[in-house]
Amino acid sequence: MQLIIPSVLGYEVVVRDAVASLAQRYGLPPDRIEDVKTVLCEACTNAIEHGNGSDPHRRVRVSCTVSEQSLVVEVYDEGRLPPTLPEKPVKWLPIQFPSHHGIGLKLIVALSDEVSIANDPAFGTCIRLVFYRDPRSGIHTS
Amino acid sequence: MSEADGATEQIIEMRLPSRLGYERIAMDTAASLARRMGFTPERIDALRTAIGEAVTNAIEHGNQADAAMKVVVVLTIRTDELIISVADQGRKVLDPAQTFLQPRITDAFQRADKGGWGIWLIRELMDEVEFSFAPGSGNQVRMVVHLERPPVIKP
Amino acid sequence: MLEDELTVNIRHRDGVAVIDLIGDVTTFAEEKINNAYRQVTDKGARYILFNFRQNDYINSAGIAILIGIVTEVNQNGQRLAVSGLSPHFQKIFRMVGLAQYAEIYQTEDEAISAFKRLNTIN
Repeated sequence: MQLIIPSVLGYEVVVRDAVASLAQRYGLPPDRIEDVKTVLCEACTNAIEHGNGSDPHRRVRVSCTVSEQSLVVEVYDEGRLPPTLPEKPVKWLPIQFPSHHGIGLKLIVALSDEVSIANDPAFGTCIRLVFYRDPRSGIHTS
Repeated sequence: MSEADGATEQIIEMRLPSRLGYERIAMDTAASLARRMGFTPERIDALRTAIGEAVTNAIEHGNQADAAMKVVVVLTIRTDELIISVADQGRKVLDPAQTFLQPRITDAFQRADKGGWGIWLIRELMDEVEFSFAPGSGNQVRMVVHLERPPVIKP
Repeated sequence: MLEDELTVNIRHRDGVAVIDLIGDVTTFAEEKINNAYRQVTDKGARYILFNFRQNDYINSAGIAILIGIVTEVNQNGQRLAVSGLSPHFQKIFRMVGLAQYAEIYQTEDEAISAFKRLNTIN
């Protein structure tokens, strides 16, 4: 399932509730659903504010996939750069735990079963979140 | 974003697999948005039921429950209304005549098939309803809920 | 994979067959609801209460199932009532016409009291 929202603060709540609804139908227990809601709020807020610079013309794309093992949610922003390639070479910082995200990213990592971040200079950032169906499977990343 | 009557509008789009159960997610998403927009609880409940019926029809009839096919829900947010459009990929075309039926419970008692209430409920619960079919895309229902604001007393 | 479970529970209280419907009432509920109705009817139930719990979703397929039950209730000379519905679904029941054939009560206790009054009159 995919969800696309404008990069306007406030809409992260709609994404949160959409993914929580999916998590509930998927059968995650109530306290785990609360974790999903917190993680999605943080990830979408980051995408809106940092990824897309709160530009209402840019969009945040959320893609959810359910399987026997897990619920996977990917949150894509469109990046701050204009859609065309920049004229000057851009220095891409490593994206592992960028410091300006602060406590939000720590929360995401603490509450998700797996987290990975990918970045494409032309297209922006994607944060991939995995929630196991069975909480006992796998090891929590910390 | 596009301009409409001088007011800006914003759009949220959902793409759902055609599997029963996903209508609940469309319902909860629309309800979340409607709450944020300031609709009353009664209007939110009405909207949940209407969108649930529309997405269920799109899954079961329009897309013949083929999970690979998508139901596309577009929520258009305006200052004084919310527009919800639900589109399937048109495996089975919805006969326009079917969208104007007025089911009666006394008739249902006589028939083996007790159903046929979904589209009627959509029309009863929403402020504006329009069914259409676009070759190349599919069946579409466009529903509008007006946002009633409490009257403002001007000095 | 997406859960859509209805749990059905049968109890007897003051001569009323109380059927708890816990969860969503959609097409997937058909067998469970029909089985519960048949079970209490086979045992001679005259007063039946559908008590909705943890319900925030009844769709048109669920309405069709309930109309099917009402059809049989009418044929069998039984009395059916419902309780525990949210205001929204009480409204839907009235719109569809179900309220004329199944009395709507806010709570199970109210429904049972009403059935008891019926019983003493009869």
